Amino acid sequence: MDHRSGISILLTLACVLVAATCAHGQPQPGDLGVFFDRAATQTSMTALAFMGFHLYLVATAPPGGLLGWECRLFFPGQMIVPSRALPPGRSVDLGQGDDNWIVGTGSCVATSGQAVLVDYSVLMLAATHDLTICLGPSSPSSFSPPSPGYVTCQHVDDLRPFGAAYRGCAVVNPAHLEPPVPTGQASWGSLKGHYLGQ
Amino acid sequence: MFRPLAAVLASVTLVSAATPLAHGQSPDPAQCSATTAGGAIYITPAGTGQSLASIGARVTVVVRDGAGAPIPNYPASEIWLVPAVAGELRICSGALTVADHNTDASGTTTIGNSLMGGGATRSGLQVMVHGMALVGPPLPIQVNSTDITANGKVDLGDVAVFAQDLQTYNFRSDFDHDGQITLVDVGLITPSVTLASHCP
Repeated sequence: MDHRSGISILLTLACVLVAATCAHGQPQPGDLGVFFDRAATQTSMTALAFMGFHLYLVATAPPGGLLGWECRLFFPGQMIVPSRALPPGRSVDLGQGDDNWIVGTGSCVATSGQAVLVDYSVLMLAATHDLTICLGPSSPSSFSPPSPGYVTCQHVDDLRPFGAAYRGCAVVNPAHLEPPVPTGQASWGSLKGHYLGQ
Repeated sequence: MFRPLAAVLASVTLVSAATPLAHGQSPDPAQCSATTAGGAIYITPAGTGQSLASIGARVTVVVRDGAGAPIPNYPASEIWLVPAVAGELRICSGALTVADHNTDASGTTTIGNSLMGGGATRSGLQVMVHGMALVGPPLPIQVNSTDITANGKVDLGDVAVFAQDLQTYNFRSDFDHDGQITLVDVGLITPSVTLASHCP
């Protein structure tokens, strides 16, 4: 086994591990993640070039409720984001730059379930494998060390870091979760069905 | 040998600079006066907010002794501003807003700079001379800060409070002091958020 083969096997194992992590388990209270559904269950999907899909930034049952939050999303260059929407109502985002969120919600978001913080519309430019969309700290960050986090409804100085649901990443076209998508499947619905049918 | 001597000389020089130059004159807070046109300013923990001078609210201070005689060349560093009601506005530690210059021949100086701190006050400000508050009503200067929570830095907590105040008016978030919280105020707080403004 030469050097390149060794690296290749290690990368494969790492990808399989990530895929397995994404496929199992549930987000914990106080987690933040990116998902392809509002219920925060799908962290991988398959998409063709020029297909649009939704991506959701979801906080899971933040202890103490949520009065503001901050994080940053990193998209691969093979995607563009035509729109990003905060929930209707009172939120204000003071973060500078796309997807650098520093948000006051205006009123307490108290939930024992999932709270969708942002609804993204995303367009694939190329159907490349293993495209990851990941979370990171906003810039600047209110936390040290920098971290995605939130302020509770209990006190405005009660700032808490989010936990990273599924390592804070979602994957499009994972190469090791399912076979390549056949060309000709043009609709999001059919792709979703194809994925869930695996 | 040279270094200890230099240190002693430096100490003597510092003591001289901090002592009122008019021999035998000590300020009397009941005889001193402070006046201003008044107004409202927004400040930041880093001192990048509005200055008193910029809104025409520069404070004029006359330092006098117990006999009512003006004290010339009184050190600027011994004259500073504090909130009239303690706790409403928290000045950054070690970042006092002092007089613009030593008093002139008539015992007069001004305070025109901004303040560094957090919180908000509508109760006015007070002048301190040599650690003593001047006697009289507070100066009619209202202050709010982009560090709304007054924890010494602008962070997510301030954004959360600001978003609430967008719904229900609160002076603390009305940085242009027009009686409403609008996009202008969003524009004024955003640089503090972006730069993570904090006390020096």
